[in-house]
Order: sequence, then structure tokens, then C-alpha cells
Amino acid sequence: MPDLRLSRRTVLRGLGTLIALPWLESAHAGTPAAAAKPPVRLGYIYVPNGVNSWKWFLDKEGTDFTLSPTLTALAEVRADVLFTSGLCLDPARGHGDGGGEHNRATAGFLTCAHAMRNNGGEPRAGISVDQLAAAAIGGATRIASLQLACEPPRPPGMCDAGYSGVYRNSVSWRTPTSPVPNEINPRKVFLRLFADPAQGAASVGQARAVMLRRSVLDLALADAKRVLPTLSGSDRNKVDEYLHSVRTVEQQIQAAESNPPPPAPAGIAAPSGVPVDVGEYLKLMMDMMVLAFQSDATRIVSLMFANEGSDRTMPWLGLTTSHHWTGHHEKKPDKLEIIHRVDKWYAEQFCYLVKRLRGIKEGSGTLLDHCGLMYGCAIRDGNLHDNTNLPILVAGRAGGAIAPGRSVKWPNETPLANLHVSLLRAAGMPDVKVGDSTGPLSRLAG
Amino acid sequence: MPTPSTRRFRPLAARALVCVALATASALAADGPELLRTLCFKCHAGEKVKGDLHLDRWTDRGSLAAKITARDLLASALGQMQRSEMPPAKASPQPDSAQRASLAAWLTAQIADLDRITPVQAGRVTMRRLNREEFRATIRDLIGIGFDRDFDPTRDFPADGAGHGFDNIGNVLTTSPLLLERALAAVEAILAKAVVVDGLGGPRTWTLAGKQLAFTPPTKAPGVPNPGRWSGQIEIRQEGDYRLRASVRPDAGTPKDAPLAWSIDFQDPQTGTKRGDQATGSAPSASGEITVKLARGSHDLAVFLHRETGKSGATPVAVVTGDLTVDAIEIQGPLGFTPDKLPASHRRIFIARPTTAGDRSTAAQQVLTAFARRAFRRPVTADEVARYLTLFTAADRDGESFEGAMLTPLAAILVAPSFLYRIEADRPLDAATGAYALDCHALAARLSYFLWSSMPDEELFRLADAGTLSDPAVIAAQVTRMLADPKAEALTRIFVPQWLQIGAVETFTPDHQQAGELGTNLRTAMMEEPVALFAHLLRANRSLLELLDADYSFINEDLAKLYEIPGIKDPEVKGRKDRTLVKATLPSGRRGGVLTMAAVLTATSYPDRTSAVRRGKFVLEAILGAAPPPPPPEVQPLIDAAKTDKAGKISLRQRLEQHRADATCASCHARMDPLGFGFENYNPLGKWRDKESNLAIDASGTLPDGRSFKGPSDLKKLLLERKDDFTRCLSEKLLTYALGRGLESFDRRSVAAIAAAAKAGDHRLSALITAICLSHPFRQRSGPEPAGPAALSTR
Repeated sequence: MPDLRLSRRTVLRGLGTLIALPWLESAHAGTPAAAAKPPVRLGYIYVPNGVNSWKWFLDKEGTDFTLSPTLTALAEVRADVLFTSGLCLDPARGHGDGGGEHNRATAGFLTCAHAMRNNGGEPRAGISVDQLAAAAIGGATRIASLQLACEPPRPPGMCDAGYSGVYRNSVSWRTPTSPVPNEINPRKVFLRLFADPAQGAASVGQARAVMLRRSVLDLALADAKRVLPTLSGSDRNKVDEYLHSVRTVEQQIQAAESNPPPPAPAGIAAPSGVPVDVGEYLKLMMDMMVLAFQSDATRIVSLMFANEGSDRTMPWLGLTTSHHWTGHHEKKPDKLEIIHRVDKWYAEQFCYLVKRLRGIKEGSGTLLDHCGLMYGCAIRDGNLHDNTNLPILVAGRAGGAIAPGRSVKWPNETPLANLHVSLLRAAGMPDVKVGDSTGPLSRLAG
Repeated sequence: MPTPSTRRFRPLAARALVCVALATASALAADGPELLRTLCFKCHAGEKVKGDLHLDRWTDRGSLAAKITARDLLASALGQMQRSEMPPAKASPQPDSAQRASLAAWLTAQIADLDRITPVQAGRVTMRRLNREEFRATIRDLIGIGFDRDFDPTRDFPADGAGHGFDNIGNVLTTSPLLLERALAAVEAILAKAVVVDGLGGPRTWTLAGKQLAFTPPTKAPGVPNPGRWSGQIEIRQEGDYRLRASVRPDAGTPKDAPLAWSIDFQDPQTGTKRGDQATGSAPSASGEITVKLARGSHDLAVFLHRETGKSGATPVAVVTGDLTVDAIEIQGPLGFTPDKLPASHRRIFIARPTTAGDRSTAAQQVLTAFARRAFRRPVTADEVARYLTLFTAADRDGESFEGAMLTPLAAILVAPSFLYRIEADRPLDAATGAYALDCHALAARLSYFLWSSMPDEELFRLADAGTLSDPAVIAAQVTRMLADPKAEALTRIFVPQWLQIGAVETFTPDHQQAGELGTNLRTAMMEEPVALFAHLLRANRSLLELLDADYSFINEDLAKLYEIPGIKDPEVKGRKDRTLVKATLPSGRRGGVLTMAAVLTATSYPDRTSAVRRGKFVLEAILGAAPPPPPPEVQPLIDAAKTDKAGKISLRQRLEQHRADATCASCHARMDPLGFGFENYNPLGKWRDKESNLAIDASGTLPDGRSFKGPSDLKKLLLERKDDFTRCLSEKLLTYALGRGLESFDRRSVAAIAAAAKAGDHRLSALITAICLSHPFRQRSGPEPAGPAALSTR
């Protein structure tokens, strides 16, 4: 078995040394660096199952706050994080649909739409903010957006209160009926960001293989178009999905030809696979996220630390059984203590990401200055499954749209969607509308 | 758009109908229309109605769709009234019990009448994408390539969505760019493994010369004898032995017969040594020739003057000086390849091979016609084949081998919609039923994917080609044949865990203190046990009722230990190294049937405790086919342990009884909880216990119908009395799996017919499966317009 620990270290060695960014080198060649404003990157980190809210929230607003027992995990990046309270995801509430809170929470986190209780039928939520951004600004980079996760999807089984399991496995939705599956293998992510180091320069054989591959896809496209008129009803939707998929893969091949992935920076090796250690796994995926932003391969990344309802165990924290079921704490002190430790541990991992981004120079500041990162849960308490006053953190400055280092309490019931709107505006989408948003979030920039 | 929650099958209401029908006289029902009007029309008539439920439309019995709408309306009204959801408590007037009975009787009679005048509906299955299991099995049968740990290009496919508990439901099997990208890569890898592309017409020869060769000059580092290195790249597509030969011109001063050394991918090809310097190479070869084994892929071939290194001391001493020029590297191979070494996968695809340059296109056409027919599971037209032939023609140049040029059209076939999806092309509708009979090829595919999760075999193709597969006797004979085929293991292996919802066992993490340890071996055995029982019932042609109770099971040492089966002396079980499950007689009382299997008991538990509610709900859902509705909105079960269990002395059972005191919870929990309590003697891993936290287990209970039981075997006896419900429930689950769609209200009658046929066949599992394959919805498909009402809602 390959030494996975080593593989991550090797990746790490290169991080922070790569300063010259492609967007500066190519698109802005000749422009004085000061005039070229680095683009805003959007990152969404999802944590499942709610938190121990008694130990999460801060004592007061402003800058003169004391970090809570859980959020001391972020002491090192206190000045780079905006600590929120009062944000709410109303669409994830039941609204007469009863149970299924976990499914609605995941599906609503980035869509702010009320997931349909699909009873085994086609799932339906809304378009997620990362996909709105991918459609609007994703064309500027080689990869429109990345969807990552650090846990394999759950096995098929009975749905939860009438909601299919797919809702829990994806925060990203391309259309209201098409959840985007996550990539869970860091190696595959790396090989999308950079040319395969195992392959030399593109040989004649490879060029020919690409050419033939495209002809295969052309024929597939033609086939589907020929079949389409003979079909009706839901069959047509299926062929539409197929057509979209073929076109997207064709575009990827085209883009890879006209704008091939760069070689990996010196000293950075492709990870060999999925690390066994969960902490290493999360960090490696965040390394991929950093590399993606740093090399400007994409500006939009979502990362699920785990799927909603995750049964992950963390024996080193005393969590020897399912995270999800421990979250049903029934106010038992021992369970609440373990949940607090899990919350803190996940926040420590997020701290790692913030520090990484802060350590990379870009323009006159750091890469973190040009990131808008949202971190958190769409459920507040794993026992109550409520969606009021969510545990949400924001990091980075999003090019100036965010003034971090503060604790801000918005009135209860302030839509989480308003934060989404603000972040999308910062990324260059002035007219965007998201779910139940009532406009941009106030007091974000100070 | 139809609201799924309403058009779904509601067996609960169906059962209620029977009770009401028996209990009331039709005379009571005369005022039905008037009651419906006064009680319901205030909110459910006219243009704007609550919950989109247009109850005033019940009189329309014109079109087929109207009949189905009317039936669903009335069934929905009946169900909601019987569950006391309607009319709402705050509405007035409120019906008295006589009025309720009267309205129920009238509704029941109307529904029966509508059933009489409405033809049985087939329903419309959405075109199904092959899920990962089906893709793998189909590739296995189409090409003859198997998957294992070392070769599995489907490993990275994104997970398939599930609906109605199964992962083969057409509506939910979406296609994403990620899936298509992975499928394309998988198809390329599969074909590369399956097909021999080089060497069939004898070894090929490549020559690398001129710009194809790179020269790396010698380094002058002291003590390191790095000679000038001549190298080129080659793409090898067929693993095998290759002969390498270099044409060299020694520089002035270099001996004419100076030995050469070869380096392949910077390694000594003979020893695999990799030193990292330019001089790593093979043993010297005076002829300059070497034969090496090359794997598939791109290789760096390098040749240089061999430099003997001295053995004295740490510093190597160069023996030969000078250098040489390489004009060309010639590669010949693969050597010694003969047709008898062709893998079966290759022979299965290439039924023809050109003998002259002129008939390449003819051979290609023959191969593609046969392959596309099998891949698409139907006859193909000459036009279709012609399109794939153009891909062959485009690739068939530059000295490409016939097989190499065929890779492109073969890959195209394997990512075509006709392969990845099971397309059932629409046919003219029968006006009376609103459906059409599936053509024989679509029917063959329905049979093979239901029973084998794979493509039809040659016999099914033959029957479909002959058009005889529509004959019920032929179908029945095929089902018998197919169930006897080893491929039928797919039905058991895939259906059973999904039906029993035991997938959760794979990731179940018990609280060690409360439940004990769950190791990999035990976990595997637990998952396999119900599968083995189901397979046995099919193989031995036994009754499906043995799923509910049996005096034997399939266990190994791990399970025997968990079940504390005393004195298992059977040498078959004890000490079996491979841990295979074997049939063993169970001591009476504690075990037998799926309900007392560890997998089911574990999947319905929390990590640190059992859940009578979940176990009861499981029995209702998976055994009796009477799933309770989801809990009412915003109900929070067992929120605060401190509030209910201040002293820690109240059992969970007592806490649940408190919960049931709430009237809104009581109606369903009165059905669920007693069923679950019956299994309280099993801990979260299914291990027997008499006590929990020093409180004696009370596994007695009373069902809503008043019958009482004491403990699990008692409860199982009561459940066995409901064998009709179980047969119907298993029919529903298998029909859902067979069709790849959720059942609708109109499927009720098909299910009843299937269950009746199974009963007539002594409840043999094979009789049930045959009845499904002969059923109306399995052999027919409704037209494109939804057969059901346009929009309905229970809310």
C-alpha cells in the first residue's frame, strides 16, 4: 500500500511556493499588477448534522469578543473570519412536509429552495449558488466549478420520510432536478487541475486518441438527437440529461486541447488516492481546493466534509459511534460534549484552509483576501433539526466585500440566502437572485 | 405535474376499504353524494380548492384518465377520512360516526364500481439508464470481461440514486457529465483489455529515426560514466515481447563492435534496476539487439554505448571511451503471438476478420452489426451500422490494424444511448387500455434485467427474433430457465438487501459498551444471511412464507456465536476457514426468518439502543406493506432525556408510552410500537438479551386489533396469520424492482392478481416471480400521456 501520508506531504511541499498566478501571466500580461484586480474565488464548506450550539456562538458582537469553546479552534485566524449569528434557512423547514430535515438541509444549503418530498420520484430542489456562479463566471477559467466531498455516498436504501438519499449527498444542483455528484478522490481532482505527470508530453498517439474520442462523442450526440423525437414524457428528460452530459464532456475535451492543464508546479506530486486518516483526507481535499484557486483552474469550489446524516466515527475524539446518531443527543451531557469536540475538530480543519490561503501571496495581498469562504451547517442542533440561527462562518475578504475579524448578529430569521447574494455580487454577479433572499446582507463590509 | 405523494400506492387505504365494505350495508350509503357535498365541498370544489383536491370532479367517468382521476379522488377522500385527517377538527359541520360509516360505505362502493369499468393500467416506466451493477453485468455478458479488485474501471462511477428503496428506478437514475466521462474512460479501458489490436497479422515493425530520436549528450561529471544517450518514444498497445535493434555509426576512435546497452523507461529492462543516471542499462549486447517485454502504454526506449565499470574501489572506472551516433531504432513485435492466445473476449467481438485489404469494410460491418445488436438488445438497421462504420473508416489509416481501427466504433456503441439506456420505443396504443404490448426485444430485456441484472442471452434473443416471447407459456418457461441460471444470483444479491433496508449495516457503528463489537467478518455474514435464505427458497422451489419463519437459517461460526446457538457441532459450520454460510437447523424459539436476523435487527437500531419504533415501522413497511405516513410536521421524538427520565429509571418503553399519550402520535404509534416491542429481546446487534440496564425486557404487546403476544416467536405466529398481507407486500416490492418505477394507485389490481397467483402456486417464491413476469404492467406500457390524474394532493 502506498504511503498516503507521504503523498500529502509531497503535495504540501509545493504549496505556498507558487506565487505567479496564471491569471496574472496570461490575461493581464503587460498590465501593471496593481491595476489588475485578482478575481474573487468562492468556496463553500459543508459540515453535517448540526452542532452543539451552546458551545458554538460567541458572547457578543463587534471585535471585542471572546471566542467560544468551539470556535477557539479558529484563534489563529480570528482576524480573517466573520463570526455570524442570526442567519436562517427557512426553506429547509418542514412547511407541512414533516420529517426529512437532513435532506432538506443539504439540498437547501446552497439553493435556499425547499426540497420536494419526492417519494421515489425525480428529486427537485433549486439551482445552487455555486452553479449560478459557474454559469455566470465559470467560463473565465478552465474548469467552471468543482464539487468535492470527503465521504462516499450512502448505500441505497429506504428513503428518509419520503426524500431520496441523493438530497443528502449533494449541496450543488445544476438544475432543480439535477444534483451534481461530488468527486471524492483527491487524485482525480489533481488530475483535473494539472497534466498527468505520468504522461510525458502529448504524443502523436494521444492526440489521435483525443481525436477519436471526440468522434465517438459526436456520434453519441447525433444518436441521442435522432432518438429524441421518437420519445415522449419523462423519457425526453432523460435524453436531455444525456445530451447535456455529452456536450459537457466534449467541451471539456475541447478546452483541454485549446487550454491544456498546466504541468503541476515543481515539487508537487499527484496524491495517490484517498488517505485512510480522516484528518489527512480533509486536509488533502482542502489542498486541492487551494491549488485550484491558486492556479486559477477554477474560482468556484464546494466541499462537503461529510454527507448529511454522516455516520462517521472519530474515535480520537471519543466519538466511537455514528456522528449523526450522537447528534440526536437528547440533551445528554456526554453526547453534547462529544458533539462539541467534533464541531471543534471540524473547525480546526477549516482553520487549516484559511491559514493556507492566507499564506499565499496574490497581487498586493494574499489569496485569502480574494476569497469568500462560507463554512457551516444548514441544521443548528442535531437533536431539534432546526434551521434558525445557523452555525455559519465566513472567511476571507472577497475582494473587499467582507470585513472579517468581527462578530455580527443579524436579526433572527435573516435569510442565509442574503449572504449568498452578497458573495455572488462580490464575485461579479450584481443582479443575482437566490431562493428566499430579500437582498444582500447588511453590515458585511463593516 | 402529478404530485407523487398522492398517486402512489396506498395499501393502507386498500385494506381499510375491505373492512368498511364488510361492516356496512349499501343502504347506509344512499346519502353518500350529499355527505360528500356538505362535508368536503366547502374547501374541495370549484375553481380554487385546498390541496389541489377537486372532489367535485368525482362524477366524470368519460375518458380513461377521468376514471382514474375519479378513483384517486375518492380513494384519497376515504383514506383521509379514515385516518381522521379530514374533515379538519376545527371545520364544521363535523360528521357523526354514523355519517362517517355511511360516507365510507358509499365511497367504497364507488371505488369498486370505478374499478369494474376501468381497464387495468400498465403504467409508464421511464427509460432506465443501466445502473452500475447492470453496466458491469452487461459488459461481462456482452464482452466476457470480468471485474475484480485489480481491474474495475467502474469503481469511480458516481453513485446511482435510489427511489422507493431500490437503485434501478428510471426516474431517479440521472446522468451527469461526471458519469459520462467515467463511462467513456471505462469503455476505453474495457476494450483495451478485451481486444488484441496488434500482432494478429504477424509482428509489426516501427522505425524511429531522424527527429523521432533525441540525443542527450554525455555528462562530464567526474567519476560518473554517463554516455551519450539516444532515445525515442513509442506507444505500445499490445503487451508482449518486442525486439529492439539500433543502427549505429561508431565515432572515430570507438571500436566497431563496441557493445550497446538498452534502457527502457530509464530502467534496466532485464533487472528492473533504476539508478536514475543515464547509464542505467541492460547487460551489453554486441549485436546491439535486445528482446524485451513491453506493457501497454507509452515507453521511452534508449540506447547507448555500454561502459564497463571497474570493480576496484568505490569509484567506477570507465573502460570504453568514445561515443557513437544512432541513426534509427527499429522495434518489432509483438513476437510469437498466435491466434490461439486470443482472449475469449476478443473472439466474442471479432466474429469476422479481413483476409485481404479490400474486404476490411465488409468485415467491419459484420462485426459491428453483430455487436450492436447484442449491445442494443434489439435488431439494428443497416443505416445505424453505417454510422458506426464511418468511425471505422476514419480510424482505418496510417497503417492502423483492423482491430485497432475497430476500437473507435466499438467504444461509440458502448456509450450510445441505445446501450446505456433501456429504451422502449413507443408503439401504437390499444384504445381500450391506453397501453401497448412491449415488443419482444423490450420484453426480453425486462426479463433479463429483472432476473439477471444483465442483457438477454442468445436464447432470449432467438425467442424475441421469432416473436414467440409474447406467449405467456414461453415467458413462464423462460423464467424457470433463467432462475436456474447462475446469473440469477443478481436478483437475490441486489433485491434482498434493498428490500430489507440492510444497506445501513455496512456503515453501522455500534456503541461498544451498549451493543458489543461488530467486526468485518460478522458484518459480512450478517449481510449475507437473508440473501442466502432467499436464494435457497428460489433454488429449492420453496414457499416465500419461510422468509417470515423457518426452523433453519444460513450461518457461519461468526453468526452462530452471535446467536449463541449452543453446541453447534456441525463440522460444516464450525471451523470453516472461508466463513461461507451453510444451512443449519436452528433451535426453536429465538431465531428463524428474516425478522430475527441480525442484519434486520441491526439496521433498525440506533448505535446505542434498539428502537421499537423503527423495528415496528420496518415490519409495517417491508413485511405487511402498510407503511405509516411520515410523522406530522415539527414533531420531535424524545427531545430531552432529562425531562422524561430524571432519575434514569424509566425504561425506553415507558418513555415511548408517554409519547403515545399524545393523540396526534397515537394512531400510528399504536400500530408501530407493539410490533417493535415484540423484538426487544434482541439488542442493537441482534444478540439475545433478557435484561437491559438491569430492567427486565418486556417483549409482550397488543396489536391494534386486540390480539396479544408474548415475545418474538409469539409475534411471528400472529404475523404468519397475515400471510396474505406479506405475500402482497413482497409482490409490491418485487414488482417495483422488476418495473423500475414506483407503484401507482392503479397498480393495486395488478398486485392483487400477482399475489393471488403466488398463493395459488403454494406461495412458492418462483410462482410469485413468474406471476410478476406475466403481469400486465410487466408486459405492457401505457402511452406517453400520464394515465393518472393531472394533479392531486392529499394535503
